This record gives sequence, C-alpha cells and structure tokens, in this order.
Amino acid sequence: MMKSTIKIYAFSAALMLGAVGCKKQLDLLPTDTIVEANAFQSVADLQRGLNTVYARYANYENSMFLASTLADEAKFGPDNGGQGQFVIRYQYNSDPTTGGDVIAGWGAFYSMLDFCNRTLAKIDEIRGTTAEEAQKPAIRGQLLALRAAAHFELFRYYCGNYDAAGLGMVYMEKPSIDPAPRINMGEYFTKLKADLVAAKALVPNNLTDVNRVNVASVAALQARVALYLREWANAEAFATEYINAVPLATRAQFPGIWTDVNTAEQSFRLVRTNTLGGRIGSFFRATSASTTNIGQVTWRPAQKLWDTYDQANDVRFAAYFKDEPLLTSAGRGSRLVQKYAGSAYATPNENVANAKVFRTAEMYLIRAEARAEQGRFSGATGADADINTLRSNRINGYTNVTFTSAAQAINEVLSERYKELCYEGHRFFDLKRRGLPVSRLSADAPSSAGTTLDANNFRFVLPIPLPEMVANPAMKQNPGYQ
Amino acid sequence: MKIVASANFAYKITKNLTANAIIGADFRETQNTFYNDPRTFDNTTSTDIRTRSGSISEGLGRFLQYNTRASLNYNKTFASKHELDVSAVGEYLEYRVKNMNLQGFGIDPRRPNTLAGITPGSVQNQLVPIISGGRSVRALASAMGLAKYTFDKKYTVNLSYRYDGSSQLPQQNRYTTFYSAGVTWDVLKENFMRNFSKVNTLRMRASYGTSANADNFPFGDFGYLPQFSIGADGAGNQTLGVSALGNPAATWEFTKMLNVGVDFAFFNSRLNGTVEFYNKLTEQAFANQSLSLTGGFGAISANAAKVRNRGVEYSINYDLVRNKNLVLTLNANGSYNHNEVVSLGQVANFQQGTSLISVGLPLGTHWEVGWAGVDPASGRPLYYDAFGNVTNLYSAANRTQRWGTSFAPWIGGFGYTLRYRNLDMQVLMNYQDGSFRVNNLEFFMENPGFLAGGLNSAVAGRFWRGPGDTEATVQSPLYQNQFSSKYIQDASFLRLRTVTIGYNIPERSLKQMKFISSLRFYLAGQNLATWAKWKGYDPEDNNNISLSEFPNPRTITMGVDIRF
Repeated sequence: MMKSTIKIYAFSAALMLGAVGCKKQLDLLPTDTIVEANAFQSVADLQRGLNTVYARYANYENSMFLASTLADEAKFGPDNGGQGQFVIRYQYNSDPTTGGDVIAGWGAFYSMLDFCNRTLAKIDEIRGTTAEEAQKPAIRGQLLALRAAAHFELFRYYCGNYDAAGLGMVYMEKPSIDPAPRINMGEYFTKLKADLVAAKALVPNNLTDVNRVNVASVAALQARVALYLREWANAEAFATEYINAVPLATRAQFPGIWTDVNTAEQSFRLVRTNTLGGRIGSFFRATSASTTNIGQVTWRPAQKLWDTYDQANDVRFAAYFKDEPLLTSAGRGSRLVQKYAGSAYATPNENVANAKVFRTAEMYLIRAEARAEQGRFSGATGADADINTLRSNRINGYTNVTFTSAAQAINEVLSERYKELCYEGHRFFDLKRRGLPVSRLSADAPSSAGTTLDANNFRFVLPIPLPEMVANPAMKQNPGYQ
Repeated sequence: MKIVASANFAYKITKNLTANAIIGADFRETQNTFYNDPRTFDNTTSTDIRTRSGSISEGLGRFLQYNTRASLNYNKTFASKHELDVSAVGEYLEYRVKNMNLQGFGIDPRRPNTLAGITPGSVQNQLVPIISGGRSVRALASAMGLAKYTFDKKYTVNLSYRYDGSSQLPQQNRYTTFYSAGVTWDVLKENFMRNFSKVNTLRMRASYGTSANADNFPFGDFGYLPQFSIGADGAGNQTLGVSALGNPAATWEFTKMLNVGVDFAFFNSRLNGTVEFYNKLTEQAFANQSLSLTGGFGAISANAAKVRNRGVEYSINYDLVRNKNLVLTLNANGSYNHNEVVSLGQVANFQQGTSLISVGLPLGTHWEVGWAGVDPASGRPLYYDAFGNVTNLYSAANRTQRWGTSFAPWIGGFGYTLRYRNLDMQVLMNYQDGSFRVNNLEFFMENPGFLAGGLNSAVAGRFWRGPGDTEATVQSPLYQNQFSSKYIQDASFLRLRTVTIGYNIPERSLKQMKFISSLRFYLAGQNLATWAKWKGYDPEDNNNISLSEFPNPRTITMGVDIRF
C-alpha cells in the first residue's frame, strides 16, 4: 500500500509538471540580450536612441558625392580603378552591380528612419524626473527634424521635380516592415512640412551645439524644401530667418570652416572622426602612405569648375582646391579637391572633416533665387543685393553688380551655387530642379558619350533598387528603369 | 563531464489501465583551458603587451536538459478480434545552457598552466583580465492522444492528436495542434489469399497527417524578438538602436504528408521489397524573405513559403540464385523527388543571397546571367540579357533561371551480393541525375585577377589571344571575370561506390583454435570510379556552389576481422 501511494504521488507530480504547469513554463524571456521590452528605460536611453539616428545620418555624404559625380564638379582621377564609373557614365540601372552607388541611399535613409521611428515610439512610454522630462521635447523635436531630412533626401534622389500629383516616396511615420506604396508628392510634403513645423517648436533655439539640430537648422531645411517646391515666398522667409540668426562667414573666417577650426555660418554639421562616418576626403583621394607618397587620387576637380574662379582673389579657390607639385613629379596630374582634406598627409586625421549640412551662404543663394523668381532681381531686397553680399565676403576687391533681368539673376545664382557649394551635395539636384542639362567639358567627361546628360533625361531621377522591386509588389519603378 | 539520470514509474491501476511517469535529466559540463606561455618565441617577439606577457583562459560550459513525461495507457482485446490501445501523454522538455570564460594575462613562468599564475590587472599594466559568459533557456511542452485499433489482425487504424507549445515562438503563436490518421491492411491474412502460396508478405499502408519540427526554428532561443544593442558613435556619445529585426509574427512551420505504400515478398521471399509514394507539403516554411527596405531591414526569416515534395521511393532485392553453396542477390533502390515552390505568400520571388527562389520552380534553382562566349574580335566576354540578346555589358539585372537546380530529383543505387561457399563479394553503384552546380574553382582559375598568383596551364590556353581567335573560351585578361551560367555544370554522375571481397575461414578449421570464433579476410574499395560531365573535384555534394570542399576519397582497405 505504502509503495503504491508513493507511485501515485510521483505520477501526479510528473503529470503536473508535464502537462498542467507548462503554460507558464513556456513564457520565457531572454536574460542576455536587450529586447523591445527592456531597451528603453530612461530618458538617457531616448538620448542614446537619438544619438544612433545622428550616427546613421552617414549617408548624407553619399548625396555629396553623387551630386558631384553625376554632374560637372569632378572627373576621374589618375588612380581611379573604376570607382563610380557607372555613375559618371550614366550607365546605372536598378541592380546592385551597375547601380550600387545610386541605390545605396534607399536602404540607408530608410534604415535611419526606422531607428528614428523606434525611438519616437518610446518617448511617451518613458517617465523621468522633472529635469529629465524637460529634455524630452528637444529629443522629439530633433527626431522629427531628422525624419524630415531623411525623407527630403529620398525625394531628391528618387522623385521627379515637385508636382503635387506626381509620385513621391513612402513616408515612414512608425516602425513597420509591411510593403507600402509610394504616395503622391502633395501628401508626402504635407507630412514632411508638418514634421518640420512640429520640430521647430521643440528643438533648442541657440547655436550652442551645432552638432545637433536647432531652430536655425530647421529653418534652413524649410528654406531648402521651399526652394525645391518652388514656393518662393516661403523660401525667402525661411532663408531670411536663418540669415538673421547665423551671420555669413567673412573672408578671414572662411578658410577655417574647411579646416574645422571654426563653425562660422554653420547651424548644423555632422561630426566626423576617423571612426565615425568615415573620412569624407577619402572619396576624392585615399589616405597617404607617407608625407611624400600621396594616396590614390580617385576623383579630381573638373576643369570646368576650376576655371570658374578668380583664382587670385577668391578665398574659396584655395580652400577648395590644391595644385600639388608632389603629384606632378610622380606623373599623376596635380589638381586635388582640398575641401575635405583634413590634417596633413599620412597623419591620423587625414581626410577627416565634418560634413557641413547648413551654411549661411546657401541661404543667401536660396533667397537670391527666390527673390529673382518673384521678380525682384535688383534693389535693396533684390537678388543682386544677396549675391553682392556673398561675393564681397568671398572675393578680395569685389565690385558690386546690378542685375538687369530675372533670368540673368537666376543664371548668376546657379553659377554662384556651383562655386560656393561644390562637393556639398547640390549641383546635380540644382540642374535637375531647374530643368537644365549636365554639360561637361570634353576634358572632364569619362568618354565622348558621357559629355552631356540632356535636360530632363530620365536618369535625373535615380532608379528604385531592384531588391526593393523584388520585395515590394506595391512599389512603382521610375520611368526608364523597367 | 556528463550525467544522464532518469526515473521511470509505472503503476497498473487496473488490468488494462497503466499509468507511467518518466523524469529524466541530462547534464553536461565542458571545460577548456588554453594556456599561452610567455616564453614562446612568438610571444617574446609580439608587440602586444597582453600576448607578450602570456595568458591563460578557462572556460566552463553547462548544459542541462530535463524532461518529464506522464502517460495513461489503456490496452484491451475484446472478443479476441478487437485490439484497442489508447494513450494520453503529457510531456515537458527544458534546455538550459550557461557558460563563462575568463582570460588572465601576465603569466608568472614559475606557475604555468594555472590561474594562480596571472598578474592582477590594472589600467597601468594593461593586463586587465577578460571575463565573459551568458545563459539561455528554451522549453517545449506537448500533450498527445494516441489510439490504435486492430481488427482481426488484418486491419489497423492509427490516430494521433498533439498539442505542442514552444518558448521559441512569440506568445500569440506559441501553441499549435497536429493530427494524423493511418490504416494498414495485411492482405495475406485474408481468406482469399490462402491459395496464393507464393506470396509471403503483402501489406498495404496509407497515412495522412500533419507534423512540425520544433528543432527547426531558424533563430536561437529568443531570436523572434527584435534585439537592441548599446554602442558608441565614435564621437564620444553612447548609442542605442535595434540590431536585429527578429520576427514577432513567427509561427510553426508544419508539413502535411500523405503516404501510400506496399511491402511485399514473393517466391519464398526471394523477391522482396517496398514501394512508397509520398506527397509532402511544407506550409508556413521559414524562408529568408526579402523585405521592402522602407522598413529599414532587407530580410526576415518569415513563415512565407509553401514547398511541395512529391515522389516515389523503392527498394527491391532478388535472389537470382539461392542454394547451399551459392547465393547471388541483386538489389536496387532509388527515388524520384519533384520539388516545387508552391507559394511565397505576398510575392512571387525571394532573393536569397545570390539565388532567387521563385514560385513554380524547385528550390536550389540557379539565378545567373547567361554566358554567350568570347567576342573573337575584341576578346570581350559576351552575355545574354534578360531577353536572350547578346550583349557585352554584364548586369546582374540580366540574371535568368534557365540553369536547373542543385537538388537532384533522381537518386539511387544498385548492385549485387554474391556468396560462394566462404567467399563473398558485394558491389554497389550509385547515381544522381538532374543536378546542376556551380563550379566555383573554375571561376577562380579563369579569373585574371589571380593570374599573377600562378596560372593553370590548362586554363591559360583557353584565354583569348588576339583578334580573330574563335577558339577561346575565356575572355581577354583585360576584362573582369563575372559569375555567369558558364560555371553551372551538370553534376549528374554514376559512381562505383563500393566493392568488397571477403573470405571467411571455415568454422571447422577454426575449431582447432579455441579462442577464435570467426576469422575473415577482406579487401574493400570505395569510390573506385566516377562517370560524370562535371569538371570540378566531385559532383556529389549537397550544396549549389562547389568550392574547395574535400572530395569523396578513393580508398582501398585490406583487413582481417577476428572475433574471440
């Protein structure tokens, strides 16, 4: 009897363990990894999430390179081993082999947006001390501004010129892996502008930390958006707001911008170290083995751009370019892009430079274009006043000019943008939005076939990546790449 | 160290009702020590202080699996014709792993090979020890009902029902049910078979059921959850971001399988074998599904695929001669399997690495740009574009799926065994047909980038030599070599797998040697000959791209088998 009691007891215990207790037993959570449930626990974690988004803004450089090599700012360097060949020759398609450079932005910006939205989704769940709670609006504001900025880059790459009824992109407002269709540009920019308005009310209104988004930089993005949307009055107003907040760099300050000794006229920059975001200058020239053995020159300045400057008096020329005798003696040409050269050859910070996202010079140029478009090409609030202000802060012994037509003013603005903003991610998109062709000098073209890209050619709108087309049945490819 | 313990309790409640309980545990502990003496030459010359000072690391891993299983079984035969066997089973399995590792530096050579010999670390001496470790757990719970009914030993019906839960799936998809039903008919037990004396076995089987593989989740214990990681941005700020997408919608993949088979033996069992037809549909199968990048991730392991395997398997033996001194048995076995991706959910194609899984095509289907030869005039490589036109521009956008699959639909073997008195011989051939694989080594050999590193003379003669060279099969070294259909080769083969010849010393001769019960001499050869169009090392492998895998070796073994 005793024996069978023990048996029944053991059996019941096993049955309980085996069948009854199992529901709870399966609700296990990991101990070693950080998961959704415990990732964000404090306002400091939200700040870390925001830092990640800034770090993921690395693809801003890609815009800088594309806008140069797709247009007429750069030509093959003597040591180019095929880098960017499909881009400069206009042979890119939607596949990773030929289109790798032009489709990279797609995944990079949407990945940044996913990071952005995942942190935004957590802000309301976190409760902190009063002091910590006070940091939350600024975190939300920066995330919204960065969300708008990434969406704006996607528009510049993959959409045609602004047309409210034309195809925009997918606007990501929450984390989601569901395939989504493109929405039209009208709706797209309604969302984008709303993010900027919301951001502007939340971000700090000072220039204490230009590594982080502030009111002036939101105004700058609003001005840029208005420029691309041809909303001239808005473009002028937002540019003016920026100009009033951040004075233009003087001729004396100007070279220091590019060696990162000052932050004159910048409201926002992306900090780059030799571990964060990579060496921007290495796009043009690889790091050097020694002070005399200069790294491989993959891209050099286009002759066309080089010849645009008053080389003796324009402070921009020396800040942006270099005629290097060491290269001449090695039979490797001589001209170099100096804009992002960082510290000296073969030093740890060679080619390390911050990415300047918003500068006052660009705002003067946006305002000049907006004024000319509104018929005010000349006068105290005319396009020529802005151009004269900018040039007199760049060129020694500059004499003011007076514009006599809107068309002349716009031409002058475009050529000034070419000189002032080269390698900063504008040229190709400027030609695209103005409906102008890319016309290279034959000395700059990779081949006779690559001399021109006709105005409004389909290649001004870059292809949606093939992997996206395979994965997302709702996605619509841009014309010409089907 | 390994400890396996289990306890089994059985209690007969009534004559026909039995209760069973099993509690088992399996515990394993592994230890490893790695000692790096500071006096070795490599270490004394190292520039790294931690290498130069020597190191010792100790690792400890523990694995514990325990399970409990409780069951009730009812077994009774009614009216001597109706056999009934019914069980209810509850089972729980849990796996736990835990490991730790530590590495100390600055070994005192007087105390080698022990943790006592390490130097306490500090920031100044840069000898701070490294400590790491972790733990994880997963569990599986099941409840089952099983029933078996046999009528008059002729007809048997099997039914089963399972309710399974796994901790490796998100809460809402954690539990699922499976069932199966089967019938067996022993035809020989029928009265009408009495006159067929040449039939020795005739059994027909059919079953249908669902099942799942709880060990088949593509991610680890908690991989379904999105994972985050803390890092640094390189400018002195801490970052926190999602590092793995996981799949919060992951669920069970399961198969629906229909089996129909027959076992037979005729003529005193001289001819015997099995033939089986199956249709297996794997649903919600995990596949690495490419995602719209708008969500920030390129791929997810999703329950998106439906794959069908349908085919026939057979095995037949025939004793051609069977008498006291001579037995000659012919045997053959083989299978035909038709594999097809039936559905991929929302899309028609998945990009998986370099291949494209497509609805209507088998798994393992190659996706490459078509090779169109070498342009005799310029030496440029020529390719086919997606529409079949020749082009000299290589573009991955022109990849097509006209190049077959790496999984062979036809697999099998045949041979014979011969015994004459004490001499025996076995011969086995095997084959596969319909498989195509990429010969990656040929791609390397023809790669102009490797020319400087040494040139294969057989390949050298195939490079384009000058305008008008129509013989060349490899482009001018001026042009980059690309992956194309050129490297996809027929991996069908016929192989002489084994030949064995043996001689057993007759028993009566052994009787004189009291300690030896049997003595056999044999000579065996493996992979003696292969017939194939394949140009790489070995056509036989289960991957789609052949790299430098070790081929099946040709071995010849001579041996003596002695039993005491």
